[in-house]
Amino acid sequence: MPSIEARPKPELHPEFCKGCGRCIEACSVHHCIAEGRDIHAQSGLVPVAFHPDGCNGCNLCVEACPEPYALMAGDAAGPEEHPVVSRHRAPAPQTVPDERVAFAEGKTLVVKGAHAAAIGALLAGCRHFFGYPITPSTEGAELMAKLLPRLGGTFLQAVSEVAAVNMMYGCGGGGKPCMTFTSSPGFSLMLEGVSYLIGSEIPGVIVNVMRAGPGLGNIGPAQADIKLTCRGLGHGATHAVALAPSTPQEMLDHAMLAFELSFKYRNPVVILADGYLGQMTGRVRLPGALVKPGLPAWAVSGDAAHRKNVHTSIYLNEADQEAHDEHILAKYAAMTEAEQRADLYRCEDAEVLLVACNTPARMAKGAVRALRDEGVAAGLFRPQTIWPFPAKVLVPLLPRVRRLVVVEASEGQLEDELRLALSHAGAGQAIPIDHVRRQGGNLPSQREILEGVRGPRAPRATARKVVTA
Amino acid sequence: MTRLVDLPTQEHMLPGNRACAGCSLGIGLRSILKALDGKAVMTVPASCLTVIGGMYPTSSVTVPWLNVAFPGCAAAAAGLAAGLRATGRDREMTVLAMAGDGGTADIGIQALSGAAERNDDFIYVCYDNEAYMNTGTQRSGLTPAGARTTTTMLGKRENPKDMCRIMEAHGIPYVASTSAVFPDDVYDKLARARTLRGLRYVHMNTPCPSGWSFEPRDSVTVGQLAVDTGLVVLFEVEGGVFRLTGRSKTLAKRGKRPPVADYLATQGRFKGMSPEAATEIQRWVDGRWAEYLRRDAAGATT
Repeated sequence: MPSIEARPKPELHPEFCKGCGRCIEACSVHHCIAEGRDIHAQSGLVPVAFHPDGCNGCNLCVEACPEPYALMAGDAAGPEEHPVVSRHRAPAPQTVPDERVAFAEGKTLVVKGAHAAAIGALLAGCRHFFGYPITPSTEGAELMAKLLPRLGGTFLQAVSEVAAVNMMYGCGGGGKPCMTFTSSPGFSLMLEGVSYLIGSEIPGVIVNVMRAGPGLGNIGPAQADIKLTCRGLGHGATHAVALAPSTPQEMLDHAMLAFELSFKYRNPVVILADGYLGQMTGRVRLPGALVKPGLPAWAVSGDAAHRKNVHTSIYLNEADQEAHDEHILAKYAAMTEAEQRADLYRCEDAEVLLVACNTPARMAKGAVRALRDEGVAAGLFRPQTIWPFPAKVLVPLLPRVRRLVVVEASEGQLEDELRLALSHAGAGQAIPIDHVRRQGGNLPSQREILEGVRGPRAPRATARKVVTA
Repeated sequence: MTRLVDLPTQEHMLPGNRACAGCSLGIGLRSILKALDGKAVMTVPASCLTVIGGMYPTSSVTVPWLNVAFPGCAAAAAGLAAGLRATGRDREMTVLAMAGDGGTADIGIQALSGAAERNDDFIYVCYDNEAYMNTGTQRSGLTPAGARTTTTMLGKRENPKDMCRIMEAHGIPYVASTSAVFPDDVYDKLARARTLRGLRYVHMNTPCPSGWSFEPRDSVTVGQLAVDTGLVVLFEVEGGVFRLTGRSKTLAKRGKRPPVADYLATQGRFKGMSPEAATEIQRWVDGRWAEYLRRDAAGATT
């Protein structure tokens, strides 16, 4: 039977000791540990001083020590031996690639735009939905509530948009495709979370069915969040691909594309729809394949292989933060290079080029047809990505263009994006830019667009006079 | 206790409001504003009440009204109370924060909890129609178990939060539970709350014909049945002393309540509910009722 003296003596690892002194109190011999005097070069703290000569190996100091590995029983394994920490023993995380499963191509559905986006998300492999009710986006959430439980997925109605976006942070951090549906005021509330998603490089898809603002506004269709999405996605250097569908079919296609881009760049993607598009019913053709998502190597999925994965947006060292920002900026540059998308309608010889997206693009298309009938060489340039703005598609058209007319349901947010893009491209500076705008839940009509193109509009009679008495 | 016939006849809510036919919130709001004698300033977040209040620049209530962001009803009320104090008007005017169940128990709870901890000087009324009705009936933290909403297609699984107990735990001067279909009870509680200072919380059950799926003419009978079966209990807690009031007090004396199944059968939202689930709700209600009786007896001896 081993005597007390024969027990192994504890070892002090001064680099891990913070000098609290609990071990001094605990020591049964009372002279083998003393307060230290020297600052440790590695930790910058003052560890205790350990004199093993008088130690009887009682190990009470080890029990008292609050730090892992500072005071260790003589026969205990060090941190380098830890099965997960050890560089040699921990398995490397592997990316499980997405699978594309053949699907009944050519099948068509007649569905609402919001439902089309939800179906697109399901086909892209999204099985996790976190949302909060807000008109006019709720139909998408309601369809998810109906379908996801049957597909083994999760539908979770959060207590607020703040909670919903942070649930996406959690699910996306776990490497799973997830989404939310919201509308303008709700999107405003999500922005801190969006900034965190971007900072921590976590994917997620947000469908923002825009309504009129500011404040509570109303529930009519608008494009009032273009500025917010392109220039103000929360604090810091934040950007995300912003898709602008214009038909129920594109609601589905863009939803599928959004998940692909979101995981490709590890960045959230925003689908900007408007209130009409969410409600608009149309024919939707289903794709030829659906996606069975894998699991990226960077996911925090709980096993030893993924244990080194840390998702964070905090870098206390300024140089590290700057390097992280540069990395994110490089991703923006890659998105700007690769993801500019636009649809062109009769642009090949257009001299009057209408610029519109979402539902206003449908009226603009009608206006182009009417103008062509009158002999005006009109065309429609329809950005499908508002950020990055598709300048690469626009600039080659410009030499023939004598006039640009921006048609939009906001006070000039799309025009600002256009002007900024042209300015950066150093193109089209001599081309006059006119606009046809409606706000407050109204969309520009074809007649208004035609009037806007033909000549300066007579000022529209102001709406109801506001009584402030 | 004020008798119905003795309620003031002066209205502070006007015709032309946008409440649905049969909405019990109209009854509740009328009683509340009568109890405050029309001397109130309201803060209201996005909710049915915003719609009832009317579209800018019109308003269906005769008191000033501050429309606030969804999470901020209690916070805005705290700011408003500070503003009224600074202008010396806090004695004559009552700040009335009024939000729905989602605006109170879900998105608004942190602002409300903060105001309660500071004991800010206003009355907070949660009108509880038991789901997000303004956006088309989605579940909230106060939706009862078994109720179908558009986001709980097969019936909600969880019991609602007990907001009154949450608010009581903050140690505020006055907490009350009432029902919009008992105008006398609403009136008495608001009239009592008006005389106190600090944060006063009133939880008002508000039957909703469209969301709960019953005929508009049945709002009052459904609301009364909720109280009779013990799902909704009328009580007040002032200075920590609990007492049952109105119909719930009568029920306690009578010692007999109709089964919860009678109440569940009146509404489409509970259709298709299994008998076991209904029994479970009955058990939950019985347990709570016994606790209320115990607290009422304890309150009577203090």
